[in-house]
Amino acid sequence: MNQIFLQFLLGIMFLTIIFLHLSRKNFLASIAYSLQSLIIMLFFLNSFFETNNLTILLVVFLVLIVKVILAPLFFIRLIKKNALAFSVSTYLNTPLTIIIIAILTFIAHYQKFSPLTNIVPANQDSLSLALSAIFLSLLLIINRKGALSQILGVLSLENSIVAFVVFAGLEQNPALQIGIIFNIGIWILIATIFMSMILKHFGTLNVSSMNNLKD
Amino acid sequence: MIIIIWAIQIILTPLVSPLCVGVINKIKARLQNRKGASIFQPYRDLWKLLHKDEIISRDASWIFRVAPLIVFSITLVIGTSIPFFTSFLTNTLTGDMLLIVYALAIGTFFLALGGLDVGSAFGGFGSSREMTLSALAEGGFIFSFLTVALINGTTNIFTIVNADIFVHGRYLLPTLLAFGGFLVVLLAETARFPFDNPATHLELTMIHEAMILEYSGKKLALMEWATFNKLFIFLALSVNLFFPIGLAHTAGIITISAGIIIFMIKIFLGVLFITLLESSMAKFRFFRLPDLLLISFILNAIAIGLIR
Amino acid sequence: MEILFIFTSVIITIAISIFVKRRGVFEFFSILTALVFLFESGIIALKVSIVGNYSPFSFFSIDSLAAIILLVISFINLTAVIYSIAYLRQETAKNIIGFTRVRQYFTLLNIFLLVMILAIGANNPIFAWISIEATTLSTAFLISFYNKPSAIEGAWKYLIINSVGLLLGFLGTMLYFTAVKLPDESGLIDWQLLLSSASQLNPLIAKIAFVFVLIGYGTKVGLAPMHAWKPDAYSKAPNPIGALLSGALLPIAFIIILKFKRITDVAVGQSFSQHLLIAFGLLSIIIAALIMINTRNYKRLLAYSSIENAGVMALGFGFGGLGVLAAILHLIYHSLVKGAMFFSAGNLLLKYSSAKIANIKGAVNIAPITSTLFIVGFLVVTGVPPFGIFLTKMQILSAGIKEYPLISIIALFFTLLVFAGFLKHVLAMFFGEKPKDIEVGENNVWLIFPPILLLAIIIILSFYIPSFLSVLINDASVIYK
Repeated sequence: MNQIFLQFLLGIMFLTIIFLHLSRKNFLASIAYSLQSLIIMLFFLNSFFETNNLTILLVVFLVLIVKVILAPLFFIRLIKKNALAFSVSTYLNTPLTIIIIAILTFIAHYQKFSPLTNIVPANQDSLSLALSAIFLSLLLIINRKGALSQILGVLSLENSIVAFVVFAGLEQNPALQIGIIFNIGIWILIATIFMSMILKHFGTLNVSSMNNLKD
Repeated sequence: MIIIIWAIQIILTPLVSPLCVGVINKIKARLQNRKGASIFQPYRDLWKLLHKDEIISRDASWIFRVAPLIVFSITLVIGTSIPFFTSFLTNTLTGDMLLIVYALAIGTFFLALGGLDVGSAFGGFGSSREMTLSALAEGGFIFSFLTVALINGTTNIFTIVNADIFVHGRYLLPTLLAFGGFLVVLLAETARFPFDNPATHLELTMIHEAMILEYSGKKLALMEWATFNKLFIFLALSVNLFFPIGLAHTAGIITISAGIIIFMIKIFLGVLFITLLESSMAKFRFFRLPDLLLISFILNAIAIGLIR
Repeated sequence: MEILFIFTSVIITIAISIFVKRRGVFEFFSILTALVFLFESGIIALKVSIVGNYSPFSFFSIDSLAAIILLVISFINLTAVIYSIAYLRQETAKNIIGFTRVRQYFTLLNIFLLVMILAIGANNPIFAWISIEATTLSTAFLISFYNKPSAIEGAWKYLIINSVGLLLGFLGTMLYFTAVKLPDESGLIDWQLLLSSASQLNPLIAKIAFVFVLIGYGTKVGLAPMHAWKPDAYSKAPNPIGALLSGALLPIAFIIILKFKRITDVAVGQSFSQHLLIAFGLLSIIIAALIMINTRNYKRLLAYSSIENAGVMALGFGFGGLGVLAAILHLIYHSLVKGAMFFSAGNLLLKYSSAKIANIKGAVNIAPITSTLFIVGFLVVTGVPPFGIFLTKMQILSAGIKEYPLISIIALFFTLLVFAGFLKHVLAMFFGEKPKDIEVGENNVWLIFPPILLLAIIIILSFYIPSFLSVLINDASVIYK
């Protein structure tokens, strides 16, 4: 697996984040997240083939099980159980969102961030792309009103950061990866529980309906 | 040999485009559990129309008579100017992408004028809607071409499709984004879902159909054929410009035949995509269409921004 | 050795809370654990004051600042556990919560304690990150404890904002790792290794990394503008948890920021991180002061006071020199007094069943001891002499007056504004006509004993600091200057 293939995968990941911004159906959003996690798993698989480090293989399996299979299954089950097919509400309308996406992408490729993206100069394009993926995930969290979309935003933020780290050549630290997997697994569990609680009490996943707490 | 290739290139567009539309209708019918008309039905429709009488309104001017000819001939000219299955037929006269965009715009212009010419209300609003969408789609259209042009450093289409696939492989992400933007423009310009329903009978939902409502007989045949040609042209552009694989680089029987076959397969994939899209979504209401076109424009802008 | 005692007792308590059904048992074990924790952390603090470092295992090490914080946390934990037991018994008597909830509370409380200790002593920035993420996860359920819609909302905001912040902090941490080129995979990069390779760090990357770390862990500390979760979370969590969040979690997040600050200072010099800390600190003070005047809920008031004090601490560390010493002392005082205030606020809540300031009147007549404790706490936390926080605030401001006079004056003005705002609310709550239908007198002696204990410690510490503690503070201020 050479660099071109990895860059291709990163491009697909970038497209999934844009898709998450534009998609209206929660089911497709969960599938997009699953695809993202699959790409991350492929990154680690490639790292395993290069270094033959068994812990990385363990990480590959954990990513596969937790992020690619279990988490989207959780979400899909929640969607089916509560008939949450659509998540149309955003704070900004779609064209404005897309314009901001474009601006964020340009900012990430801007000169100011060149020290960041020059960590491994050969990978500069990929690092810029990963950085713009990070910005876009942050936008997703801020922009969306649905609790499920916010969770997907946080999870895709984590995926983007891991992608950035991988392309910066820092993925060799295995304890780090296992820690992240563990964390994200527990996080997904707790976030799903919270979503059920929100649904039970508010009747909707629209977080703008949660406005009881004011000064 | 070259003469044969040129001959094929010239007649390919008007010959094959009704077949494309026939295939679309057939697959849609199958998906709707109907038997559907035969895939050669559009040919029969054109034949029938060519042999029918025409009725022209008293208020029609020369524009009404001339518009179908202009629109049809423009599609023919463009049909010869874009690469279908070869990449070595350089045509510096009409092979430039900007020329293609604006030639198509001339076609649209006369189409809209023709709709306005007889003074009917439906023609009028069809033309106004069409011009709105055209104006907004132009941004996405130009920018998606611009992306490919920037990657390859030229606006000559034949040079672009001659380029090494590796070039496109390196710029995969911008190409994909530009392709996505171009698909939206394709749907807009060829009056397909979600922009327009080509099979609608309700005048209030028409955009393209409203403009050709007053035509009959031979002129209607030319207009319909021109629409088919436009669809074919756009499909060919989308599959060849962004994924220039399988084009014959040399003139030999085997390469040409392989080129034609691969091209047909690619066109079929495009047709399949349109069919599945049409079967799975509803037409958007008109006020949502500018948003969609703006999205296409920005996607292309992002694609340009990602080019290094 | 000591740390093993702590860990085993905490883990045993967690197990007991999960499996044993008798209330008295896990309450007893929680107190026992808290006492063990206090005792052992005292020993650890003594050891660190003599030796300078306590590292029984390769992945766990406590330096002087960590030892101070460990000791402070153990105090707050002990008082919080005692208070929790009494508080929850009161609430069960009022039928606000049931038995399962109480059990969950103690389980989560002890898990929270365990990961906090791990976070302080983590020798590796990644383990520290994982532990702090674990604190977020364990406290999320504690915040939504009462299961009302507003509690769930507060917990959701807490979860999302903190998770995003911590992910950014993680990115910053990874950026620091670019300086260290480890050939072997068994190497876990610890703080020492990072510090020694800090000179190889690209200065621009160090700056960007520190910004990410500051924003990330600053979300946990509650510095503005990442403070949005604090008022909601503090106002909805049970009061003892509020005490722990404010008094224990805040210093832990701060110490991690300081550790990264040390590394950045080696790479780019001191002024960059100092300016950033000053900026965030000043912003926190200003925002807290302005919102505090208009708040209508006294638990949110305590949250804003936390934000302001975090800002003062950031200012102290940003000014450097004597400011650092004062900031560390401020940290100690603030944790203790916030605990006391949360406990007395809890008593008020039990009496009046409302957290709104408008509903509390004449508390001095209803619950005299609690009111005295709250008023004394208010005086301490806003920096009234002769208590400790007055001295630390003055010291911090004077440390800054030479280099950044304008900032010190602005900070002074806004801290006075804080005092005024808080005073307004205290006067509204405690003096005036008492309502007729609430019974007079304290509920339970165990509800007032913890705050009294904490305030007593503060008063003692304001005048006399035991020698081992002053050694620790001095060492810490030298390391983190």
